[in-house]
Amino acid sequence: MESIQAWFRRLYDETGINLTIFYDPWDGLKYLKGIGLTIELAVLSVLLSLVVGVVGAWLQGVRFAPLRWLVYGYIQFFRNTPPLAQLYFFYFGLGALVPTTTNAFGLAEPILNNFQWAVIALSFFAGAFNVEIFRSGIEAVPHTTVEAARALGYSRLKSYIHIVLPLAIRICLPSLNNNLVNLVKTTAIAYAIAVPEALYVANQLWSDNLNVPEMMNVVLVTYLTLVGLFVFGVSRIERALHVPGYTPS
Amino acid sequence: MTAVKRMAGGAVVLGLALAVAGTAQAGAVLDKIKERGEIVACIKVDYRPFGFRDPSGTMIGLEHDLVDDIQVRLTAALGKPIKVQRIPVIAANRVQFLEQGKCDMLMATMTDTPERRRLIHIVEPNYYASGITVMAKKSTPIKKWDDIRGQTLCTSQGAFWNKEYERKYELKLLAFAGIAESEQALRDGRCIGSLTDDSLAASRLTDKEIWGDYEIKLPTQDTKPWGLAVQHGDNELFKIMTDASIDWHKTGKIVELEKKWGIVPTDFVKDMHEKYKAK
Repeated sequence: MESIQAWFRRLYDETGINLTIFYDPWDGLKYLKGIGLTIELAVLSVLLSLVVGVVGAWLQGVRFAPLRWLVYGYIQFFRNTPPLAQLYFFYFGLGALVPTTTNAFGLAEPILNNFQWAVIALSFFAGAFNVEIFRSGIEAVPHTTVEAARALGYSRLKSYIHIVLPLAIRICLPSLNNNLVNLVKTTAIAYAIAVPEALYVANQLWSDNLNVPEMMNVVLVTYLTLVGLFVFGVSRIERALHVPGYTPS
Repeated sequence: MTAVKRMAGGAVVLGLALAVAGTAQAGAVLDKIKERGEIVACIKVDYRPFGFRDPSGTMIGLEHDLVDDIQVRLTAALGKPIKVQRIPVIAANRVQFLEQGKCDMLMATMTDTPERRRLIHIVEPNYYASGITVMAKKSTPIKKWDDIRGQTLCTSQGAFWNKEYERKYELKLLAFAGIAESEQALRDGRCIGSLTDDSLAASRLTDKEIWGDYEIKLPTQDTKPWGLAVQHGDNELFKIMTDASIDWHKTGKIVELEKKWGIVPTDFVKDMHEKYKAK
């Protein structure tokens, strides 16, 4: 550990390449925590966006028209505006309107903090795409299969859960994974509302140490690694769910 | 092994070439300014009254007045009319912009630090100075610096005090890209106060409509000088800037500008004026 730190310190003195995260324990720990928060943000918003997608796709098929319009409006809003603008809108636009609690100093403080708003904004953003992706999968499930399920006595909800969704997920998995990979990368925009994830911490560090090119490279490698691991994971799932003869391998 | 050696050798040659190019450039930026008939200045527009926009969108402020003075000096020195192009910067990108040559000079409420001196050529004497304080709602019960220990404070990305204060007072800092976002977060109650520059806080508080409920909570500490900067390597331009800075203190120009922009006179400017007037 000591020798690694000494090596990076020497690297700085001799070449000017300043990677403080490898020799300054404070900076290193901060960056590690940043990566941790990026992962937390990614996992939570991936899960929530999947829930949004499944529920939204089901609501798109209900008989009650106003619900369908609501889903349609939601999709249009979130698909047609930039995620960064949405994040600002949630945090600064809506954030001030939500109820407040009183903190230790007796001052009003909004109940949702920046991390929670980031999870909400990211989930709704990716969720809008997920709804459409699930819909494409659902529509690809043969009508005859659905009718057979209904003939066997499945209700609409039960056939959705047990028959349609399992098949639809397998069909739309490739495009779903695409969207989720995008979502993992999009977590970086949370830096705009001061969520201390990897990019935010990197920004702080390069402001303190003025080692912009070095930290830019570190950030790039960090995301490459994180997204690489994620892609590896989802392709494993894709393979595990593969149904011979039904989905292309 | 040999490949590695060759690469290392290549890097050394490249480094030498860069070093030579660096020294051979004395006056290069000044020549460029003369050729273009224009100096490009990186400057702030989010820092009333040092740099901001008036209702018509024109960039004005104390620093803008000083850049205008530089323009006059350059016109005299180069013997042809020089225009000014202003590039608005924020704390998080100003040093990089100058370093990359996006602008020829940087005057952006920047504190003079050794780390920054490594990258850019900071002019002496320093033209201004400011310290750190906390601005918060009047009802916030903080009276001394120790009261902020462990609290959440708003600040802006790239401010030099962030790391030091985060460690010293175990703060949770919410750092935003711009000053406007940081202040909105303060008004929304995202933090108990804003960790900020005393000069900025004082000027904000003059706007009673928005900041009537707020006040400066703590005595200013860590007062540090601000630096005007150019790229390393052009000593002629650096000399013009140095002469300008000396002149500003000698003639009391900055004392006047403080008055013009309604800034509470700072000891730094007063002392510098006394010092240089005597010379």
